[in-house]
Amino acid sequence: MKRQAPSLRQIALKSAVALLVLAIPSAVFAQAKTLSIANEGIADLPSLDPHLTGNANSRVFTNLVFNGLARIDGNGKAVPDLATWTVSPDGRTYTFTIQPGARFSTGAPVTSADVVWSLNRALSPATAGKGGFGIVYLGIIQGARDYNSGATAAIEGVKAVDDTTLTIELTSAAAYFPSTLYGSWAAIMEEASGEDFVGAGPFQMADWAHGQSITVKPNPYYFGGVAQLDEVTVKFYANPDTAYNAYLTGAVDVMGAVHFPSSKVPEASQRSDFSSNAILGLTYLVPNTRIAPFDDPTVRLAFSYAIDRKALASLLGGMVSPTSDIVPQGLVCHSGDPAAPSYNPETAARLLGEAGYPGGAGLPALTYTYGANSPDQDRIAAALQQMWQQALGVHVNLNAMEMGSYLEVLDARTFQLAMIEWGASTDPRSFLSLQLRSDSGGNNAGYNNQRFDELTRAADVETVIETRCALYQEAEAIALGEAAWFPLYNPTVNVLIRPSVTGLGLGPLGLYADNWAKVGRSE
Amino acid sequence: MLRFVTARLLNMVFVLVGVSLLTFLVGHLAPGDPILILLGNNKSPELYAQIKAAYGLDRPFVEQFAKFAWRALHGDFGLSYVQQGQAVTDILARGVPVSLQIGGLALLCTLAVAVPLGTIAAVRSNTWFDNLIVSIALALYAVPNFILAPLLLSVDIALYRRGLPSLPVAGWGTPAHLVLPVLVYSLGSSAYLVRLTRNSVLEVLREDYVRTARAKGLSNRAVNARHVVRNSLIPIVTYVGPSVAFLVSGSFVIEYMFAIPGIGYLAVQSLYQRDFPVVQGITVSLAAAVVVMNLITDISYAILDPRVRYG
Repeated sequence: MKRQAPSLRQIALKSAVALLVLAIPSAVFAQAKTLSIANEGIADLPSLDPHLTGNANSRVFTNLVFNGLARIDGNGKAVPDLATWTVSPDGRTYTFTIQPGARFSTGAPVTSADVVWSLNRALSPATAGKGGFGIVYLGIIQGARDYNSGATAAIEGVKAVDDTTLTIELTSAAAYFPSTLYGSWAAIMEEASGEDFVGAGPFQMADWAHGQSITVKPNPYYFGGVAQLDEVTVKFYANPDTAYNAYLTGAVDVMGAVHFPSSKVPEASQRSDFSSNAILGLTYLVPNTRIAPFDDPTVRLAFSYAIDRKALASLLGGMVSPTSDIVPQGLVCHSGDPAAPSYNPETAARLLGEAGYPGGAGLPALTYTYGANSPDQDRIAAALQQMWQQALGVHVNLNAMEMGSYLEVLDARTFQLAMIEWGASTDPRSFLSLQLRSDSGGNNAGYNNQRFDELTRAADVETVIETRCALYQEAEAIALGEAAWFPLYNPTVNVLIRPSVTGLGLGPLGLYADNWAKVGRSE
Repeated sequence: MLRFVTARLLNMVFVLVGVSLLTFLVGHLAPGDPILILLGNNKSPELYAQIKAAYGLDRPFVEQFAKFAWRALHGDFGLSYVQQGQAVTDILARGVPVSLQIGGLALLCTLAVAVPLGTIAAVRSNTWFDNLIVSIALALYAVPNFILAPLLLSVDIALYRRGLPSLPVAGWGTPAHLVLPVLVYSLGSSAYLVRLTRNSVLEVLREDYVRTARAKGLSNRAVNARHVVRNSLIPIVTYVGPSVAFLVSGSFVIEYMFAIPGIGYLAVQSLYQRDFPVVQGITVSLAAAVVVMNLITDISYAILDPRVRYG
């Protein structure tokens, strides 16, 4: 046996040497003009089809390869992308002219026929059957719903006039229409390439390593100029902590755009390459207005007044901005209504008494249900529980649910009080009309106010921006006055971007480049 | 022996049918609607019904299961709900080799380290060497890999910051990517196997036949190699058999933490997204691997220990 000991030592030595040799390549790799972006919270993209996707995970990729008729600029405004447009006096017909020089990555020019084909594909029953949801945004196009349900063979309202001009007719005037065209659900693809998903964006698809990364290379025909970067790789990290480690060790140049691990924010925010921006989303509590006691607006107001939004924001490391409004700051028609219920424990207690439940006496058992997708959710829930206990003397039970089951509960409206994290949207309509109008499928609160419905219906089609905002603001004041929601805070997107990356930063929807072709490396 | 193997193979059919039924049932009864998750914020009742029908989820349970079982028999687990247009078998075919590589390498490392160390510790029991090995093994065994991994990672990140050679913290592709996950994987299992080997060898050392062998005048080396090691292999084989089977499913924790595109990573994602066809595919393949490996383990008992006979 004695002879074995030294040989073991030798093995240990040899493996140590082997480890070092293996380690060297990663330490000395040299960089050409490449950029790698972490895509957190997902192990792979479900599909490359832009018409099927649209969430933050997919956007990291689709923004590189595809574009639409319009895009959202750094100020949250819809501006021309592949086309410029004019509107008819009645606001119902948009005439789009394709930008001269706009070409697909195959070299073929973008024609109005490609646009007509793309929009028809985006709204086709076949695309919808695979989970495509373009109809949610583009349903205002004349004939879109009939086509989407299979009743007609094409969208009636989308017509090519000549090679570079097309008209889109709407069912009613809609000032927000161009802002619905930015998303990948309205991406323009080359008809001749069909299901190969060829876009006219700054990059084109190069490689897809399933479960690891997607790599794109420049589109040599991009009308905004040929990209300065030779290659962009989007790397998937299901665990956001792993993406953070990857940034620290140089494996990615950008991280956090989709999901920054909140536990790392205090540490990361000390760094000079850290940046943070409030995005146009809202996290809010939704009371079930169809079940007692939250069918009573006074009870809802009491619970809303009892919430200390600033305390919640500081609980999350100050990386969200507290709000009492529905329409986020920075979005058109934001009002900042001073009458919106904000933290006031005295008012809260008084209102609960007026509603007939002084000190909480006589209230049924209450439960706050939430999707437990991160430890932050548990901390928020515990803090809310404490706030209601202190201000109202009411004990609210907590029910943390796995996300999948939680979505079912939300959909079936079997909760009393729940939480919704609504991602970035570019028009007030997404918050008010789509989520609070009595006939909307997204109205989880079951809120029903006729005046609110009328106001939002009028605002949706109003073309004069001042009038439109006045209508939305009046509607928002009604919803807040009855505490249809308890707004909590606007999310912020936190990113780490290597200082050598130029032309890339944060916009109202997250990661933003004014022109991806101009994004470069300074080293 | 032949009868035994045939009986076990027949048994296997029942086990697999049972597992498929159970997996299917659990997927069916579990809360969380895959279509709702797929749609996210973009739900409309028409769209919902359309997609549900497209996946056949609107059919009665028995019909769904019959279809599933019939296809599974032909090695077809259907299409993923989430990964558009991809067959579950293709997804598995991508992930299994990755998991096998990581897990296989880790198992080899574990065996190469743990069996010799455990044996030496037993032969030299109650010496400083034995005490050292046992203490280290106990410490490593007590530390779960989700603690061990961040510890190693922080060392690695510190090395990188100082400009020293460091290892990739995540991903897949080069041999360097293998080092950290294999290390985490094998440290924990080595700790267990060292203790198992040591105990097993100690037990055998006290057997009468070992004393007899020594009394015959055989050298220490011959006794250890011919009598002790071989006889103490049974518990080790019992451990290794199912371990090999579980290589197929990868390690959920390690693959998730190191972003390794294996089956474990896939399984976690699929469970979150209610991608039931993928979950079913993984479970059934894992069950098949376990059944086969158990059979091989049982056969190897007979080879290792002539007293074991199956009839």
